[in-house]
Amino acid sequence: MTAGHAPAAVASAGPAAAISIRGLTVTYGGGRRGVSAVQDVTVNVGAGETFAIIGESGSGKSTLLKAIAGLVPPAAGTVEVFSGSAGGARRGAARGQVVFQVPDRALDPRQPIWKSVAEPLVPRQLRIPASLRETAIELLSEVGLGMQIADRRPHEISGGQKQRVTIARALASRAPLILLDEPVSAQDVSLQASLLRLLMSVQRERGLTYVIVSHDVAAVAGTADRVAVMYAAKLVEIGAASQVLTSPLHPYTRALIAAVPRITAERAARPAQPILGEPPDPRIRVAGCRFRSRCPFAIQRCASEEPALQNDTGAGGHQVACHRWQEISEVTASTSSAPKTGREPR
Amino acid sequence: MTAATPGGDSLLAVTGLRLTLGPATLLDDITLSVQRGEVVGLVGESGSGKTLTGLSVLGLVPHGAHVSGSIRFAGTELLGAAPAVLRATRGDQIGMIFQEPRSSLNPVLPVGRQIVDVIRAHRVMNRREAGATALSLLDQVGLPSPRNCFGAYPHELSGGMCQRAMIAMALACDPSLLIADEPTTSLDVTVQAQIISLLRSIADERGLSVLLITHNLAVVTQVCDRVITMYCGQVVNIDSTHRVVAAPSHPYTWALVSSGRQQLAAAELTEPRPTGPDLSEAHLAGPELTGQPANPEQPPPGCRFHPRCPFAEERCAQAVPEMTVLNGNQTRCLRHAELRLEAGIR
Repeated sequence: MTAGHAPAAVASAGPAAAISIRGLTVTYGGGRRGVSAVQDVTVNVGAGETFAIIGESGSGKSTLLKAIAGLVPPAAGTVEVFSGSAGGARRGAARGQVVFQVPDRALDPRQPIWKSVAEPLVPRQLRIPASLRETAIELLSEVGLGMQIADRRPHEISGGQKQRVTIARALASRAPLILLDEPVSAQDVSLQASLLRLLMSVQRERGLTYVIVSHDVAAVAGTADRVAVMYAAKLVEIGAASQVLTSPLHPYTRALIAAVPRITAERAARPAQPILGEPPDPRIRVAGCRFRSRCPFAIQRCASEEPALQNDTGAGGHQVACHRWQEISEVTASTSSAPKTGREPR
Repeated sequence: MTAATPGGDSLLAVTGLRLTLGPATLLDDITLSVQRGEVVGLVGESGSGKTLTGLSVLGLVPHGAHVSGSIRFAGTELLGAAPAVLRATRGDQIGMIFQEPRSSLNPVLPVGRQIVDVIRAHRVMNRREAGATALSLLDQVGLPSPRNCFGAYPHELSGGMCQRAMIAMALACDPSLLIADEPTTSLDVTVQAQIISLLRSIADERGLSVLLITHNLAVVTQVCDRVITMYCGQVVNIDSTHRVVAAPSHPYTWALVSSGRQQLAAAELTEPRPTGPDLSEAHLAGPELTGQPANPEQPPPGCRFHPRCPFAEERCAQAVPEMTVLNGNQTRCLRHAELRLEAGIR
């Protein structure tokens, strides 16, 4: 659990790894009733990268985020953030700041906004208290909020403004890593765009690393450099955003992308393709591939042998955990009847 | 149960609906209709009054609100109707689905029992018959094992299953109008696609009219025949889904369609939008909806959208534009004739 060098064998995304996760398993509850919310996840996130984790409710994506933040202890494996392990020196604010999904619950309803924003500064003595308010106002202006917001309380401002406030607070500690849990899902589409643009411009200015967790592919994918797809506690596909979104390899990723409703003039022209069934109950352990009960391509082998993430997909760094990805790609390339996703040739 | 509609086949006709709460006019001159068997989308940002419009139809307005105008449902005036009349209409002829399925269900009663209660509140039926009806409803909404769900408590079901149960409950008395308020917003994208296709097939099979309230235009284009756009307590645009997508007649609708499109395009989930004749680079570069939605408590003078409108002129700030009817669609824009808001579809 001490700071160590990343083995060269692990595919790294960038020159320097901001986050290095090795064989991470997070378990809730103990003994036979324990549920693994994250199982055997190995991934690196490069410094300055925007890394998106997508998946359905209960896939373990938020738990993975919490593990990176050090909010849940790993049952096995290691999480290193800027070469400091979860139990090591870099904890709390220095490790990464979290922006949560529902800003209503993330802000103290009885404190004026500026106090919420300045809160991360107090225990670390980065500023003397007299100038705290000014610092908070500076941070607020950085996220596009005027100083009249500073003395209001959370119920007096709109949802989009609240989310900006939580972003300002995350910036306050000067942490190089920001962890965003569904940062825009609770917002209107028009606000989502402006919040994401804000996040991107702040990232450019400060050289931040982002890990974004979302169930909504459309909302976050446009801003991500790399995308990891999680299903039932496991990573099933990982790669550059352009690769994963335009040529997904895993049947689950295909289904996830096909489910996004498109804007169509003809109602029946391109219906969102529902994915059948419900996500599996994490309490029930299944042998083989966890997606096979919902997978249209499942064969006998999928029931007996659990697929591992494969590296040899031809495209650099694009990994997939599926026995049949190669066959499926060939089939869907020749016939367009299978779940069709991604950009169409014009 | 009520008198036949005198002429016309509007199932629901709202005329000049105005709702004031204290000094604020939250709904101003709302005129809209839903035909028999028609699926209509009601879109707008948070705070535009779309939910309040839906609730007003059911007579569920906030305490102290003053409502005027007319709400005719199947020929019966609902506004100012006796509580007994409203009680008999709600849940019987008009079903309602709310955004958060889990908080709409009673946590301490099994789901089946709650549906039985709805049926027995409106129909003379014994428990056994009502139970059989409830079971068949749970089956019709596609729940995997209706018998298990019948006896299950809401916490034992997933979000998508709860929403299916809510739909079953709303359909329990075979209503002719279903008001669905953000039925998919709190659900995963994959489950959302399931619920969208369920709503559409139910509407088609039963000849049910649906008023679908949502901020997600992509969802609307998937299921609706017609789109009503609200902004700051006013209806600003009513048009067929086809024209809303292809050539919106109000800048706000156009901006909503564009921001939805841009999000999908950024995520490489749709074809890039071809440039329309009157779209400058500036309009394509970023979502047009900058700034906060107008506050209905202090609406801006003139057209309420003009502070955010890229096409606003001086006259737009002077008087509230009247609703103009032009070949079947309605728009509240002074410049509708000169603007060619082509959103560009393939």
